[in-house]
Amino acid sequence: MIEIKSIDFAYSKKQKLFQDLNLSMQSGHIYGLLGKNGAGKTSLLKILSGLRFPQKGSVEVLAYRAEFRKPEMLREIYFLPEEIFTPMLKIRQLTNVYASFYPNFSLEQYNAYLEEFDITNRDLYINKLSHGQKKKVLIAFALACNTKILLMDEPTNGLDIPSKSIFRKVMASAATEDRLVLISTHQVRDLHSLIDSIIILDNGEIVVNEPDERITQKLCFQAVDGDVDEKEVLYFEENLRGNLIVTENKHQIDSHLDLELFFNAVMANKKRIKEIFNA
Amino acid sequence: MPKFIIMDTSLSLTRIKHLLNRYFIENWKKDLYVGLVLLVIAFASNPMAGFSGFVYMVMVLLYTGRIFGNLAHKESAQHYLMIPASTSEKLIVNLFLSHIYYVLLLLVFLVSGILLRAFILSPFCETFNCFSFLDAKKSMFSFSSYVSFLSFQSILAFGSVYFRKNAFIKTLLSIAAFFFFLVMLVIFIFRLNPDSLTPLMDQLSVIQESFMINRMLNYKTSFCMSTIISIVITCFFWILSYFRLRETEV
Repeated sequence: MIEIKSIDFAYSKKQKLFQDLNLSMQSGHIYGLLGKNGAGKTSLLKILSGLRFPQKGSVEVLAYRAEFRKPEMLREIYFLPEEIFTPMLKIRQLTNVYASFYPNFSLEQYNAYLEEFDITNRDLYINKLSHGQKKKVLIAFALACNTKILLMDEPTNGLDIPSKSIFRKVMASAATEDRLVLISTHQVRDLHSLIDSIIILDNGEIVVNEPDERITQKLCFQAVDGDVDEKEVLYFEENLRGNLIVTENKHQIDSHLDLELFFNAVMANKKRIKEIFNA
Repeated sequence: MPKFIIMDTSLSLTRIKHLLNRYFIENWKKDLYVGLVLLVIAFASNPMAGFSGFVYMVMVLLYTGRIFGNLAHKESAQHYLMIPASTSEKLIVNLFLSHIYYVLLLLVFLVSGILLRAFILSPFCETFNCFSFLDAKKSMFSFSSYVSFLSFQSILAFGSVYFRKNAFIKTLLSIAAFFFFLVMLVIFIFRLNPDSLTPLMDQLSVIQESFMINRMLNYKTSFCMSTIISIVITCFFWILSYFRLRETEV
């Protein structure tokens, strides 16, 4: 569904953001794109949506070259950026203007998602809503477009606590076998239950691109009391209840994936973790 | 399949209709307010002085100078570029808006203002000719001046896709800078070698003379020439705008 082949990308000639980056993503998954600030998460989303062009290599989205921005591709991809643009339209008017561009748009779904987010008055102007409200309207619209690819950049930023759980609920209901969702986020705890595959970007390379099950198959996440054997541990964090550790899962122990811990482990022990996944 | 696709040929009338629909729903209020301002100006000013005609021209040019205004800000540019329509469809819509819609829309308000003034003032002033403005400014509405106007519009449209922020002013400054540079170049060459320009000036005066004679003999030919040049300039800058829009990154 998405194929990135050996791309180079840089904002300036001196510093390359991506060098020989390869990535493949398939439908039926909700990918979480994680990375430190400046790792290139937003740039990657922009490259996928054709808003930025790689200097080398190719990006194929639904078998179309992303940089050509063909309408056949754009009608099957929806990009919800972190800094959203809201047209001077009423909530109900948004569908009159933009729904016609998306062949699979569903008005019933749009209304249902707005109901879920507790947005009842459709005669309000979108640009006059609060940031969180604007985001909810656009999330509802994005989901109702039923595009094959949905790219979201920090979608939970600006949402209040109840809205975050509603977001998880509607996203879970909107995930289908023929849809690919890619969510770039720092708020891993907000989306932990939603994401089923993790992509970690660091220093211009994809360090991890694995489904949840494979991560817990290869690594073990545990809370332990007392001292830990540092040779065995890939990463550990002290907390009030003891130590949270990440180890190689040599004995096939069932453990629950802790995204934050996993991310920190990858950042701390990148080489070793790559070896484990490549083994 | 050709290896290099120079222009995308994806054209759909339905999508063009959707893009126009989008424009009208989002902008009808703004267009109405601008039109009403022009109506008031046309009503309040003396049509013979041509002030309202000047304001009309400036307004159309200002509109054209902001035709790709969506690209001015990162958020709106992302939104605009992600609308599922091809670059050529977006360009055609903007071409229609700037060359036909704005010209006609504002003309309707301009003439309405003039007519309104005529009807209100006619009982007090019998000699007032409501079409005097159109008569006096006949040249403004002639085909050749419209085509020249289009070529200037196309330069402004290119400026709006090229410069993004403060595009109108930057485009005007660029045009001014271009002519300034041209004049400076001529002066520089003349200073370097005062005799170097003599043959050129002679040649120019010969061309001018023959052109004047030609013009007197054959007005149609010169009319055709200037129209063709204007059309070529218009096409050239719209094609440039197409490539610039296609290459735009946000």
